Order: sequence, then structure tokens, then C-alpha cells
Amino acid sequence: MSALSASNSYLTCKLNKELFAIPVEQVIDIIEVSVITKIPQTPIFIRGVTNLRGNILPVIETRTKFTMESIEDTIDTCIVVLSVIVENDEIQVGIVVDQVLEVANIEPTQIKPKPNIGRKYSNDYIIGIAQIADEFILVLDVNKVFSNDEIINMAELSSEELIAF
Amino acid sequence: MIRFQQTKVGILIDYIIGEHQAVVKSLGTLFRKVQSISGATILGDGEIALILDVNKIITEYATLTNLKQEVFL
Repeated sequence: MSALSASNSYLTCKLNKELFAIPVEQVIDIIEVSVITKIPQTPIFIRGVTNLRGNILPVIETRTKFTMESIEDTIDTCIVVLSVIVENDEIQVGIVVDQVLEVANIEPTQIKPKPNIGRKYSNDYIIGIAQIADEFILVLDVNKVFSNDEIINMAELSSEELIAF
Repeated sequence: MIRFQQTKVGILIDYIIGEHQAVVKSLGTLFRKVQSISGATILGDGEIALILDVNKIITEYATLTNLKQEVFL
């Protein structure tokens, strides 16, 4: 846990009423949802690619990835641009969140181990849970969530899917 | 749109928007296994256009449907 955040600052954002925290060191930018180009032969949790200052940014549909019901974008919906490590390469990915709240200070001691029940987010994705005031904040391990083999191998598709394309 | 691969192959599309001189950009690590797209380019209005790897699409389709290369000859 200590290696993950030198400072204790986390960007908090909301997804489906639940609060998530992302270490600020990994947040590069927060942008509005603009035109997103879908890419064929990619899993449903990839919304597509968008233009981030002349670079191509993959955008992940976080709700789908976390098996949450998908909703229409609202005025608060935005893309958090993250820096993640994929196979020793540092790349940028954007994740769609319902709302970005604030940068919060969370002391390591406030982060409690993740529970073993309720595997909605496939426990690996969460470092722990912080309780601040009355609210629980799920602290994400973005390297695990958004750079696991699932995405890398996503284009290994069955022949039916290729024909469908 | 007609594309050449020893013989002529037709590709059905919805409509043609135009012709562009494009700077090809890679889609990056995450999408490197997406076979049918060879890259992307950023258009004047900031939108991204994907570049189809037409040769690969035809070859893949031929392999999948067990069409032998001879069919194309």
C-alpha cells in the first residue's frame, strides 16, 4: 500500500452513487466527454477512443467494467485520464465516471482492508476501503483495473465475432 | 469502394465522406491485437477516423469462411 501513494491525496469520484478514490499521482487530467470513436472488435467496456490534445486516448466504460447498469451521460459525466502501466509501458487511458468530486486526503491508517464478501468489483481492483465521515470510499488499484490482461487480450476473438464485424 | 488483392474485392460501406491526406497514428498498446484496424488519424475537426487494414480484413474473412486463396484468383 505504501508504494502506491507517496502523498495521501486521492481524487474521489462517483459511480452509481458509490464513491471511488484514485491516487492523484496517477491522474493526468480530467476532461469532458467529447466525440468518442468506437472501435470494432473490442469488448463492451471499451467505449472507444477520443482525441486528447492530438493524441489518441482509449476510453473505458467504467460502469460496464464494474458490472453496473449503464446510463446516459449527464452534465457531470467526465473522463478521468490516468497513467497506468501495461506490460512495463506507461500508457494513458481515460475512464468514464459519473461525477468527479474532490481531492481528498486519506491517511494510510484510514484505509481498511477490503471485505471478503460482495465481490462485485472482483476484489483485486480495490486496495481497501476508507471511511470518511459517514461515507465509504473504495480505493482503486488502477493498474489492476485498467491494465489487466483482459484488455490486452481483448481482441482475441472467436470467428463468429469477426464475421459479425 | 473497390480494393485490389490479386483480384477485385468489394467492401460494403454505408457512405463515403471524402478523401483525406492522413497522418497515421498508432492506436497504442491496448488495441494492438485489433487486427482489422491498422491505426487512426485525427481529422480537422478533432474527430478520430479509424484506418481499416483492408488486406487483413479480406485475408481474415477468407480464412474464417474457409475460402481458399484460389477463390480469389
